[in-house]
Amino acid sequence: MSRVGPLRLSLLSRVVCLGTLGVWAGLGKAPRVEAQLTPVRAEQGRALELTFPTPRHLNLPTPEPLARGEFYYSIMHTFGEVKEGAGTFWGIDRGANVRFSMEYGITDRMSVLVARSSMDRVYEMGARVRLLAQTSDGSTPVSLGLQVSGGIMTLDEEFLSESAALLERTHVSAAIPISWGRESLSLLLVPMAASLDRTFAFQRVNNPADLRHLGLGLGARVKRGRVTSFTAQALPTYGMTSGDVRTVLGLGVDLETGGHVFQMFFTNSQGLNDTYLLAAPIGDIGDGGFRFGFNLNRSFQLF
Amino acid sequence: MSPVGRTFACLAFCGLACLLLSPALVEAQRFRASDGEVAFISTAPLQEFRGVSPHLTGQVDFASRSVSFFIDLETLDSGNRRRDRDMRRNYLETQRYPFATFDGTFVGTLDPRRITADSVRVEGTFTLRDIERPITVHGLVTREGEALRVRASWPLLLGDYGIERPRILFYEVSETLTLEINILLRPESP
Repeated sequence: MSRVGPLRLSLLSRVVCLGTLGVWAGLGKAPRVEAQLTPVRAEQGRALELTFPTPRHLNLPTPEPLARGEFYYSIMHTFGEVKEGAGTFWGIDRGANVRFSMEYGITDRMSVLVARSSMDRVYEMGARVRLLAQTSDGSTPVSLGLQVSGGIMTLDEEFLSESAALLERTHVSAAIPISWGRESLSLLLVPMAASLDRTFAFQRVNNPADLRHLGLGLGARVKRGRVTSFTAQALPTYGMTSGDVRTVLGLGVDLETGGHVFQMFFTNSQGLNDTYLLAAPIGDIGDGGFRFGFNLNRSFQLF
Repeated sequence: MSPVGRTFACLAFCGLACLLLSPALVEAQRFRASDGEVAFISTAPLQEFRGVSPHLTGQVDFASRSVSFFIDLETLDSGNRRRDRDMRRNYLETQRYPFATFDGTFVGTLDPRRITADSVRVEGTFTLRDIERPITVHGLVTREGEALRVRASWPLLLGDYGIERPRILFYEVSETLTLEINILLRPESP
């Protein structure tokens, strides 16, 4: 018995030692170590950017905000009607409505702007704020903004052939642009309203009886590659006194070239600011009543 | 205590000691952090800028000699938000390819307990826009208390990752960027 006992213990101890070493090896070696990290986003639900790359899509306002300290400059044009033919180079020689605008980002959500349109010599001031931002995880499905502006028409009384007090020349407008974007497709919905204090016989409005206007802008943008996008807009407008319903249409191409955005389009309205977009005369597309237009947009980071 | 009892007690003690010590050994081998800094440096003739992010995540495991880093590219900030938005949207396409990653192994052996200021060479794969390229990175590891600071830099050719560099005056980016990382890796808790 005395010779059998130590032999049994020796076998048992070997089994236990091997088992212990196995446990040690199992805990101490590779299986607990993940060799590669699995990337995770630093911030979930980040706001989508550049769904529309400019504050205006053709001529509809967008909720795309400027960055804080960003200075944005644009020159918008719409020329004469194409139906004027080769004699005026299809409206190009007719003289353009030109709108210069400068906008500055006070915060990453709010910006202020000043602008001047040559049609009826209108000066405007306004502000834009982004109230909601569409997020990449879908927790906020759309971006929503608010744009308000006020303007003053500065045509001479001599031209108007009637007296025009300062307040009578003013107008205000508001728009609530709502955008949605995914990959290469961006969509825009813009309820709009405008109110003119008074209209004049020689002012470039469709119906002088209409002082209040409503509109519902629809816009689409399809991005093809890094530079080119195809754009479209439709804006049914409603004159609240006359009951006239008319539709501003537009088709165009955007070219993005690192800080510049060139927008070229055809539209049947010569209006470029919100009030005149709703109130100005609209051409009959079937009769060649559309115009060439283009916008130059440039951005600078000042601070 | 009988010989059988003593033997069992001894084995039990050894086993327990091994079980208690083994996590500590593993812990000392693996270092990790998620607050490192990465900088993409462009030195075009007319414009030089740094795109920086403080969200570099990295891990070094000395037992397996593995090195792993990643960065969420949407956190890069070059000081020009418009440029950053354009880069994210039109060049890096961060909605589709949100990360840049590096996974590799260092050449030779390093004992983390003996590191003071050691040069290391790491061979691995850098991935950007889902395009993988093998690279070799030379870096420096220095001790800061219990932690280890890793600094490294390497050139990054945009064309290797399918990025057509912007050539417009205000956005000019050099064809080859310098990528720098600086991260304080701490021993990982069990």
